[in-house]
Amino acid sequence: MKASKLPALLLALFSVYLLAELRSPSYESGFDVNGFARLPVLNGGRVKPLDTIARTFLLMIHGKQTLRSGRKRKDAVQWLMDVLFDPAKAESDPLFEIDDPEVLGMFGIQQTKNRYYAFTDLAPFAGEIEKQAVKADEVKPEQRSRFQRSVHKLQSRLILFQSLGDTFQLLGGGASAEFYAKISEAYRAGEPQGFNLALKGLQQAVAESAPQENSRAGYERLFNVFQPFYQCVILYMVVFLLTFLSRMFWPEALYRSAFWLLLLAFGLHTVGLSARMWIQARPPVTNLYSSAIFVGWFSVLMGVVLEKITKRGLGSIVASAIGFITLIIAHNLASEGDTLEMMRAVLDSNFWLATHVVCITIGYASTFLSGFLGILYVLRRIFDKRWDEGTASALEGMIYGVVCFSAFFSFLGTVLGGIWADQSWGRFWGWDPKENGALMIVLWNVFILHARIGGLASQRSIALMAVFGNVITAVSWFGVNMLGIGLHSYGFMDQAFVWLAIFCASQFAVIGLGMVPEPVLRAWRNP
Amino acid sequence: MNKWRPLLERLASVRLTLFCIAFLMVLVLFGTLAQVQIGTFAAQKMYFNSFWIYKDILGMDVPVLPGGLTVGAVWMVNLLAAFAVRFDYERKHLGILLSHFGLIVLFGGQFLAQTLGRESQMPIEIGQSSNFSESFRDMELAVSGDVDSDIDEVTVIPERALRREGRIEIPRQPYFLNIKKYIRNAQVGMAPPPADRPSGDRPASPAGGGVGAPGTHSMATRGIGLQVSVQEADPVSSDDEINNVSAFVEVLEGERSLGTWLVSFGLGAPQSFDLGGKKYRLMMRLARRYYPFTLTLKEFHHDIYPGTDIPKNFSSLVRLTDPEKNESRDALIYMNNPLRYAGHTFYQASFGKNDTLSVFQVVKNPAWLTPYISCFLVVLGLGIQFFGHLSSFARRPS
Repeated sequence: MKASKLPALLLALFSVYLLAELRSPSYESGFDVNGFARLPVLNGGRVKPLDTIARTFLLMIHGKQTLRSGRKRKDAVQWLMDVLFDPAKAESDPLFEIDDPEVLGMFGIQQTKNRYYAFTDLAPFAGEIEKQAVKADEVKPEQRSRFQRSVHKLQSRLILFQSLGDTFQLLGGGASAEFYAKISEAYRAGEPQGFNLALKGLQQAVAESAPQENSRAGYERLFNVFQPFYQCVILYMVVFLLTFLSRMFWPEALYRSAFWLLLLAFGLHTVGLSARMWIQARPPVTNLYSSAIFVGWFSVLMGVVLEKITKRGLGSIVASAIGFITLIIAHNLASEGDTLEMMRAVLDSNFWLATHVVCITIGYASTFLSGFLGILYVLRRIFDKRWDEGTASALEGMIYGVVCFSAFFSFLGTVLGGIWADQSWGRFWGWDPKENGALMIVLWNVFILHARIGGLASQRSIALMAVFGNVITAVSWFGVNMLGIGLHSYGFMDQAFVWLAIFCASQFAVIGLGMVPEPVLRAWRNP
Repeated sequence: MNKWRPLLERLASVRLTLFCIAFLMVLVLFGTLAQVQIGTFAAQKMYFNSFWIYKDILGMDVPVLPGGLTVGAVWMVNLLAAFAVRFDYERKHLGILLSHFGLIVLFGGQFLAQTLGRESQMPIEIGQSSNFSESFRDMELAVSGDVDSDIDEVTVIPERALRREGRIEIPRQPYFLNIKKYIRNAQVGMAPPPADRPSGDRPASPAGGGVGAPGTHSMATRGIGLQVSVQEADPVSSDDEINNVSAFVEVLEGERSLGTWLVSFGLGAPQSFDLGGKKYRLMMRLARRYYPFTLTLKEFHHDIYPGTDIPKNFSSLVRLTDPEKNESRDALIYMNNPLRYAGHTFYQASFGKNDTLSVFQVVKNPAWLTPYISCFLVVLGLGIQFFGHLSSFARRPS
């Protein structure tokens, strides 16, 4: 194979793969599962397909979007059908994860490899679980013990499971209710034909009463099946590997392949982001989940631009790394519920969401980009044999440019946030934790700029300061929510805290590496 | 000028700028972490709205670090000095000049806001009117006496005057007050029936009143204070708690004591005494600020998303009446849309009593426009500066 054809070949291969992923899954049972999944209902203040409800609830209750027991595998929507129409079946699914030995001890069960328990396993202990959860509820979330947290979580999952059927409303009035009853009956009786017939009736009733919502729900189901961000994760990983390998083999072909695939991934990322905006009719960032999607998207955009300008593979590698990490973060944030939730009172303002929130998030994205360029500076200085003055100053120039950019956007975003606060709470600045977090990013970027302009910092110190910007941004983005106070907090996340600590430690390790003096490095290279 | 130039150049140095930024970052870090313990309001006051941060060392308040106002002032000096001696007034530095001037506006405005700004709240029930707002946590002792059936004359003693304890002369009134004891935060509970306590009619002895159960002491000789026990509690500072400010107040006519009352925020209803044929009422209440205009709450709406209890909007329709300025009109206050009137801004802040009570936050901030101006200047300046750089960076051959 000629290496020069590789980029086109890879691009074609991945495009075909992506097109194949657009197909609806096929089910053997004869029931029109796909039709059922597309059905729009009202839940949480918005119309969404049953598929979304199935996925969010299964994710919240089970921690995953599919259910496996032994060799059997159930999609979220299949599970939902059991829960709604054949509860006995759903109640024996191994759904509830319990990995706290003390909670198991309460039931007199020894911890084994099996971490998942069915509703029927837990039903005898329902009273005790509730009693313990009520006790745990009296303790502030951040002060709960491991046992209290586990039992509280278990109880809320049990409640979610039991209340699932009452959480949504059908569209289309009385006729819909009749069809729905028939659907339920046919499913329990195991009659696919009756089920499909009643479903068709229901679909028609809904389509007549709410045509727009109906088609939108269909697209949302397609979005759910396609999982564009999951595909992006794969692509970013491939781009990262290809760019890395291009330093060793087929530099030209692998470099170009990586860049083309980066463009494909970015296109897909853009499609996913736009689809969410269209479904929700909102600017891109409305909650923590979407901020992660947007931070990734914008970093990749800037990485692509940098790559276009400098053509050294630096932009590609940093863009794919940030894209990959932020989408993994987003994936983990999704387990808290519907990621397209409605905006509460004060937040219900597309103008401020589109200006303040977007600018702040661009600030995060660009500060991370400069920080990752800083990491690249440190790692290549130590491990790259071809490291030279030219590469060093090119990287530092990029860092400086990106820091300027992020100083601009984080300042603009922060002041716009103050103005929003002035309009909604009556004060421009209240030293609230989230405001302080944003301020820290502005101050740090401005610090780097002044240090450079004043000639007080070497190239390497600028790179190291940019790496420290990663710590500040990560803490401001997530750490503030962990304080659990202030008008801005989203809720306590204890697992995330561990990851945040690991991330910060890794950044300090990079800074430490970067501080290795030149003579030591030379001695290490040429022993 | 020449004599001052070396000093100005030092004050204008980038090192000082970096020092200010770094110091502010440290302050912001500690000031944010402190909010977990002592609440946003107290932390803000201690770290940012202060010249010095005091720490309790061996029972003494020792200034340990410069506070936000000091750092801001030094930074401001640094900026002004830079304008005096460092910046070049040339066209190509327009961006630098604009953005730094914007910062001066921002800092100046924030300084004014933090020192002159006032926040209070105004709760109104549907159909009711109000012409005053209440502080969130500061109290005052109000003594009201009726002049005639329609008009009350109210004398107000602010909390800081109570804190000093001792005699308070009141001009143009037949009585004066003796604050026997001020308690910043008191726990008031029901006391066991007193056996050896002086009766309500007898004037208090100079040494004070009787002592109840261990740890409680009541000096009251009149009013509800006879039936309750009072215990000092640690003052609270978190944002959702409020100190139950209390005091033992002796009312005197010349040298004759009319008795000692316990006044406490937690008591709610006022207590009364008679003097010279007039009835006076004593009450500890949230400090009030009266306005020459009145707001009447006509409607309150609490909208939710269909099928949920997620709030979508809160809105209040109020009637604004200002006889002095001949204004009488309706105004709708809702999320992100306050009413600005006569130097005050009214925000939809809260609600209660089954959606029949609306609470407005009332803010007086003479510098509210400065962030808008500053934002414009800085963004314009930075835009000119950076995007100029960026386009030359993009055009540079790689």
